[in-house]
Amino acid sequence: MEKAFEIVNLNKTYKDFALKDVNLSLPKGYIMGFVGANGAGKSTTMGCLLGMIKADSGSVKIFGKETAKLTATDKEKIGVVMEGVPFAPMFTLKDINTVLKNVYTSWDSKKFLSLCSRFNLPEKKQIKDYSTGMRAKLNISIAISHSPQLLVLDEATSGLDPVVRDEILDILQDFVCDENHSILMSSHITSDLEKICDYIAFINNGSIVFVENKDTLQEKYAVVHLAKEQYAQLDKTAVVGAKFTDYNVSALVLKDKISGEYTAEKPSVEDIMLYCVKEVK
Amino acid sequence: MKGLVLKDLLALKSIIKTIILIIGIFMFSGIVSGNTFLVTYAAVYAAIMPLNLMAYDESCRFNRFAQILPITNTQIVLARYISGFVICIAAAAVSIVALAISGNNWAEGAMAGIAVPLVYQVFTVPVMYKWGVEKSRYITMAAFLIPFVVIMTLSDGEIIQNAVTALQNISPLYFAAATAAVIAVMYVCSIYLSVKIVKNKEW
Repeated sequence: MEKAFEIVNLNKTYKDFALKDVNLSLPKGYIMGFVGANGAGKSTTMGCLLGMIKADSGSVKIFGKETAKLTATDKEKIGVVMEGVPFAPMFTLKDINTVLKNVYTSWDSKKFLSLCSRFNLPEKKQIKDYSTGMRAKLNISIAISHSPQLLVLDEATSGLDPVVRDEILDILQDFVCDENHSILMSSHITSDLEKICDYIAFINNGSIVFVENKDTLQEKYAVVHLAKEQYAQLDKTAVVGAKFTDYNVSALVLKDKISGEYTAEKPSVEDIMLYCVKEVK
Repeated sequence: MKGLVLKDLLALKSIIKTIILIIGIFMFSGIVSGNTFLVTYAAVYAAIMPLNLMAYDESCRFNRFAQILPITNTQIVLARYISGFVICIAAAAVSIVALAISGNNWAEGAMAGIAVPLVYQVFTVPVMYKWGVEKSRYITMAAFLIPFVVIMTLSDGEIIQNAVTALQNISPLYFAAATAAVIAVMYVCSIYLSVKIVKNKEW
């Protein structure tokens, strides 16, 4: 299967943080949700993927090419949403359109302005007067108005109300209807990821904990609620993480490895993420 | 690259009225009082404008975004120098008109009006790329002031006075040509340095 991007054994060390042997790849035509706590390494990984941060070692490829060797034509096919609008605060939609139509050969002014109007973004207002939600919508409009094939979205839906988030998720789902289009998106709103993602990658303390197909993930794990005595008898190799109260234990377990009668719940992505960082006692 | 130059010029849009007003007041005072420095005050703005543009880019993290645009780092840097150059030429044009109105030697004033901001830009742009806008303000100030203060302290201004006299003895045409050549070489070196810094920088 052709890959939209491929990260192999990526390492990057800072004074107080390190990405350790990160491996991540996404086949074309799919959406990958990238989850992890603040400071876990999501933005650093995305920065390395996009060539904004230089890796210490490892290989990072987009469309089969090393990021450092991407040509202007390759970059035309990448749309990105990072934190904040990347234009001076006094810019208006018209200014942004003027700049970007002179930067991207594939820039579609009509599409940009119609997306902005669909999102009710005021044409004459300066960006500095936009709300957080408006800025997020503007960033999405910028990212998809030059017909990209790969979208890299870092917290693109944060600060948006559920109605607009849903609208954006619809746009993203439409985007991947073309089998050459792919999305890597990080978000703390895991319910959004559950709605549209095919794969979930979880990073913790700079290391990838898992990269799984979303459905497989939810079939592989289960959340069980047990009395402390029951938990004591449980095979600990089956336990991924557990939360303890005075009387009970809730645990994320590998379904295949447990036997006996337990009430098991299908875990959400958030459950899996939370339990994965909880220590097993 | 055209898009990037446009971005810089559009960023000036909102402050241009204030700049014109301030330059106008200074120029008017200069014309009335016969003070050439005030008449060519536009050059001061031209010199510091790249600093303002870079500050905008830094605050909205445009340089990080630029890494995924279909442009090279060389184009990013060149665009910044072109914007600076365009602003210098526009400021010089304004100064020439004001000098002509005030009856001053417009050719001499215009040369200073172009050369000083260009030299300032040539020095500050790589420093800004390397250390950011905030630190570069102090570094640039120190780089211009320290040699001046040292020379003045050691020689009671004699060296500077001698240098000025020597320059005045050179034919204006040769002086202009030599200045242009030196600035051109400085520009090439500055661009080369900035490109190198940007290529190695992490955004």
